[in-house]
Amino acid sequence: MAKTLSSVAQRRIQSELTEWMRSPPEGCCLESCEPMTSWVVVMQGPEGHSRLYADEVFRLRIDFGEQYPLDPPDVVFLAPAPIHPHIYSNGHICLDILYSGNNGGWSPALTMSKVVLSLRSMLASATEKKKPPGDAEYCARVGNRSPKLSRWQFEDDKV
Amino acid sequence: MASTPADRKAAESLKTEGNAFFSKGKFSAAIEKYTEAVTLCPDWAVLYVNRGMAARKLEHWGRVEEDAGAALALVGAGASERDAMKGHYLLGLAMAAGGQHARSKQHLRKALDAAREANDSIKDEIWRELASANYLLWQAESTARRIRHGDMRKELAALLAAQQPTDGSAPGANGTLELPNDWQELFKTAAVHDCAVEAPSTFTCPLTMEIFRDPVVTPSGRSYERTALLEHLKKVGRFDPITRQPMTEAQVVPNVSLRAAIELYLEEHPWGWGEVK
Repeated sequence: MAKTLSSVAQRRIQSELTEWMRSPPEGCCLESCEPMTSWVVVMQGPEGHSRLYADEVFRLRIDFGEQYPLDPPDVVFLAPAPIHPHIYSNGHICLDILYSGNNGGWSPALTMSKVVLSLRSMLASATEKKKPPGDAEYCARVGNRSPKLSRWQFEDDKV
Repeated sequence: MASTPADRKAAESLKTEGNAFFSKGKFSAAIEKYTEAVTLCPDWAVLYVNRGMAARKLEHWGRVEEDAGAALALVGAGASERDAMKGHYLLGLAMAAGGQHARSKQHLRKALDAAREANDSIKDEIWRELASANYLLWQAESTARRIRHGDMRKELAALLAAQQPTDGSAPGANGTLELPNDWQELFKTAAVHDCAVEAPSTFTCPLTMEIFRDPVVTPSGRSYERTALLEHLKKVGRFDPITRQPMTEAQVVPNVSLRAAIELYLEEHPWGWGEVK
């Protein structure tokens, strides 16, 4: 089901695709961008200090809405999601730049290239493989709905 | 024959009626009212401008050209600067419709400069029309040039082949005539203006990723496309999209130098006009 996109969103996504093809972010490749509004990114686990994810490969889904880039896209890890204190088992990610609103850190100047690099460095800086507190309860409560509907608390900057 | 104050008064009310029809989209009716007014006050430039604007909506380009000409003829004889600006604009549109892109460009340029000077909201519309005219002009010129260069290549290759002794090495592997590398390089250099490439990122907005039309600068010194930044400030938050420094709409300033630099760039890379239409 192809969404109808504003021409702004369409051109912007097209430009990002072109840019991505020319210089893909380190350790990442695009598995699918069909339709253009739904990307699947394959991410090689980063080396990092502790090599926690070094031998793993993850997949991310990025869904763009009509209001992109004013609204951030939906970004989730596909199962199996990395085991990380800021990533829930259903793939939802607690990272401020993925969300707009009061305490969100989204900016329309962010590109998907920058976003996946931030996610990769979030993995790289992890010191232990641990699920977020209340993971099972959270996943049972929100299921597969958009992570943007959750109320996120980002004050915990440490991993 | 000068019109009397009574004529002028009657013409004014006819013009008001015409404008009312115009804003309702009844362009033919508007034209009739303006025409009546013109018979009373033939020296009143705005009547020609308004009639031309209505004719433009109906795409009656002959009428548009005539009225634009009439308005411009009254420059120095009562036509305001706004009348003159719109006269150039209409004339530019009529020329473009008639395929006279080079002349269209000149008139649209004059109109745009005047509209920017006066900060008239019509400037964005004129800019789009100017971009279209430039793009069409480039398309036409570039197609003609590519054909001409193709013919030249063949002619040159044939001439060179004719000069070479027939030692069996002249024709290329597939039987076509080939030019020496230096000459091929030359043709490649000449084709640069006809090949669309990506504009440098300095000239594109980080939000729209397109070449700037109306760049504005924030207190952080970053430039954005005006409409995109204003939408961001309204819908996402009052901060600079890159630096996140808090800011408001009131702090947005036009980046005139960047705009001028882009226009220079577009002069040399005319395919870029297609992106700013």
